[in-house]
Amino acid sequence: MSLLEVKNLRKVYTARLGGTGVEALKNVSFAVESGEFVAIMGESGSGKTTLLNILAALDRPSGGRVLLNGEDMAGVRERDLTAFRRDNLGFVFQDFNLLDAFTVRDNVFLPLVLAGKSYDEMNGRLLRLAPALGIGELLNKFPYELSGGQKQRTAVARALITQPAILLADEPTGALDSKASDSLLRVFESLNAQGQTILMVTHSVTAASHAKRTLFLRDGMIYHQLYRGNRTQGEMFAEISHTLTVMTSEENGHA
Amino acid sequence: MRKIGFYPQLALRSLRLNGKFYLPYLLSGMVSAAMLYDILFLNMNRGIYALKSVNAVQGLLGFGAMVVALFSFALLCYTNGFLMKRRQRELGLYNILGMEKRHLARLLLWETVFAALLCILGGLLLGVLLSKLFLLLLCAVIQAEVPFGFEVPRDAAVYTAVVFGGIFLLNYLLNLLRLNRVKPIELLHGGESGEREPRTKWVLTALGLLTMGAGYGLSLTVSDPINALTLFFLAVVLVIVGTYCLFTAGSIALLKALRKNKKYYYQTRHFTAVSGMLHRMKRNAAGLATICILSTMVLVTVSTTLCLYVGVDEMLDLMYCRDVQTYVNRGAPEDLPKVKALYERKAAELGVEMKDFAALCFYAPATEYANNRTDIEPYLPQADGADPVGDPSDGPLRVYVGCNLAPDADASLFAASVAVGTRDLPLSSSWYFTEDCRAGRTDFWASLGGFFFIGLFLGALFLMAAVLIVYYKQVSEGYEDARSFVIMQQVGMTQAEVKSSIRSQVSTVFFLPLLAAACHTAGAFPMTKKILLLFGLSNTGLFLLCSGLTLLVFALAYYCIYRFTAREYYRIVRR
Repeated sequence: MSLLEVKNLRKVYTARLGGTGVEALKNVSFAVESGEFVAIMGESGSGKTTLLNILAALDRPSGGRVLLNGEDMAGVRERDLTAFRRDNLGFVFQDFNLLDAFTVRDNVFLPLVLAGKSYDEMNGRLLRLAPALGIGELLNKFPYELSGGQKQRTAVARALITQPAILLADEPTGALDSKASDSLLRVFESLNAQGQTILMVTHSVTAASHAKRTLFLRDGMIYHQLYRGNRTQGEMFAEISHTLTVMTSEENGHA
Repeated sequence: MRKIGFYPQLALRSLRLNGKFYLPYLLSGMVSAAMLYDILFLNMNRGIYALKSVNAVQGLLGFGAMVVALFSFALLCYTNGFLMKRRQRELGLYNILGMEKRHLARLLLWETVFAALLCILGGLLLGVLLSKLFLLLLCAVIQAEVPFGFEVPRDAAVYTAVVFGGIFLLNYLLNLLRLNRVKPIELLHGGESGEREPRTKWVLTALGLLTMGAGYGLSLTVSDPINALTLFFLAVVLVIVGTYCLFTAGSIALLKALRKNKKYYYQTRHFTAVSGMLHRMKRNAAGLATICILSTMVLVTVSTTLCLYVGVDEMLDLMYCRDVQTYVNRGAPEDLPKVKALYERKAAELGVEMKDFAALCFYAPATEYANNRTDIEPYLPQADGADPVGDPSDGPLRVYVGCNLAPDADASLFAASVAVGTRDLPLSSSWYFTEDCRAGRTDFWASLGGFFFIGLFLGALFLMAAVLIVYYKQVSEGYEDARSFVIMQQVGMTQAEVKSSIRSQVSTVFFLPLLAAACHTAGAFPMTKKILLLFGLSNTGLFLLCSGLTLLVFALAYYCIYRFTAREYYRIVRR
């Protein structure tokens, strides 16, 4: 059984007044095994964000199913959704979404405090997590005192402290410079090496080239997928670029 | 239609766009202009001039007008500063798009002109509409006849326009200063920059505790009513300083202590509330302290004037227990027969019949003086001929002679001739007076009514200011917090938790000033009680009742404001 299974996923947005709907996702099926590092690539408008929102249980699909550990997410009641999200999913956002009023430590603690965990347990988890992310020195600082990379690593710590089944990342390098991006992606790789399942949505080729598998999404459908296998990151970069070129030229040919 | 220029048009548009912020500003400007006009109207009304015994009231109204003008000034400056801070991004955008600072200045000028015109004209209109109502109210509380006719004193309108024109001009100049100091990039990012966490300021906390303690100490220890009156303003200043210090520094110290307590802090309910309050306390503390002080002002002013007004009959009976009376202060026992003989001689001359004649001398403590008069009833049964009642250690000797007259007798004529007569007597003290108590009663009613009226009038003004500040606080915090609450929901906070967290935070911030205000009012109680004694009101029960009632009504009004502004806050946060 796969950790995450997406079967025939459809999402139609209907305008409130107009009759015709827009099909953001047409028929998307894929599976993510435990311990995988998957990147989903696509242009804006390809349905990336819609897909991520459905996986994050922030949006409901129009058709098809999403199974996490074999459990259908559609079966989770509305009022249990928040707790479900908190317990199973970790989020990393493009613009970090840290709270200015909290120190780094308290930002990381936030989901656990919401889950009602004791201070000792929270602190224990943080002490194990912080060195791996390189934020051990920053715990008493406030977000406005951090660089972009430090902020994003804090956000990753916040996502991981609940020990989620899957880490969902939405353009995690979107607001970072190349150096900080690189260091963040290395952090992802090493987390993945320790067994953390990661699903990342991005349109950065560099970011995707760090993943073990890349899915290409176009017009609401999975267009192609690439496995990294034994290839180096550089080779993967070239491969992804090539696929994107083909995808784009095909599109222009149709037009 | 003639095409109006670019800047006026832009100014009108931005006033409309920022309606959520500008509307309360314009409304409160309008209402304060109306209030200033009305109090000036009452002060200058020729109809009232014709009435007897309103000189005291007019003095009070003049004082009230000054308070209204000063207060409007402070209020509008505060609100204007707040508005400008909110609009930095908009102005920054104009700047980036190619408007130079002098263009922005022109835009601001037009905005100020429109705002001023709206406030002054609208305020005058509202003031004129309400003037008759206020006149009726004033005449009712001072028990005077309502003058006929409807007038619009030109001077009142001109003064109001000048005062408010001045306020707006000054605000404009302040805005120009603000505009000159900032760089475009800062304008664009205004309000976004992360704010440093406030440091705990121990010196300020200590100063706050000290001044607050001194203020409360003064109120609790003062024993002499005359000292109470002079020290009252010192105590008020001390408590105001203390409130500001403790709200700014003390609250931060307290919140930091709460945060140190890990068991308490790391609970869903307290986590966000404590950190949120700590984060914004630096900016908020002054606003909260202001709300607290305004609330205290409303409570103290209204409760004391209400008490005076309700207790006026008791005071009158105490102070004017006969129709005509004479006091000799610091006198000697031999003054008594002289004054007594004078009364009998004058009564015979004028052919009036004296009833309930009382003549006595007694040692009275100064604390029992009410407006220089003493309640003679307790001394009366012991009065026996010319022997002084009481103990010389109680205080100076007072001689009292007084009598009632038939209802149709002319008390003022009798009092006047006695007064002339006392001047020819060789009395042992030069500190004596004779009065017509019937006129005294009317005057007293008028001045107390005036007090009560001013109390209500200023109370209403302070309340409006408190509402305005609370509203702005809530709205601006709503915009700041909207992002935080989105993030918290992403991280796993349920809607219900968001709601309860907001409620906890909002209500703490909201009811803290009310609690402190109630505390201040209670602290001021011993002192205000002594001051009321000066007016001859010794009924503590009545004062307690009036204070309680005022607090209750005020708390209810405050709660309504809370409900309304909290709803605005939810609406903004939930977007």
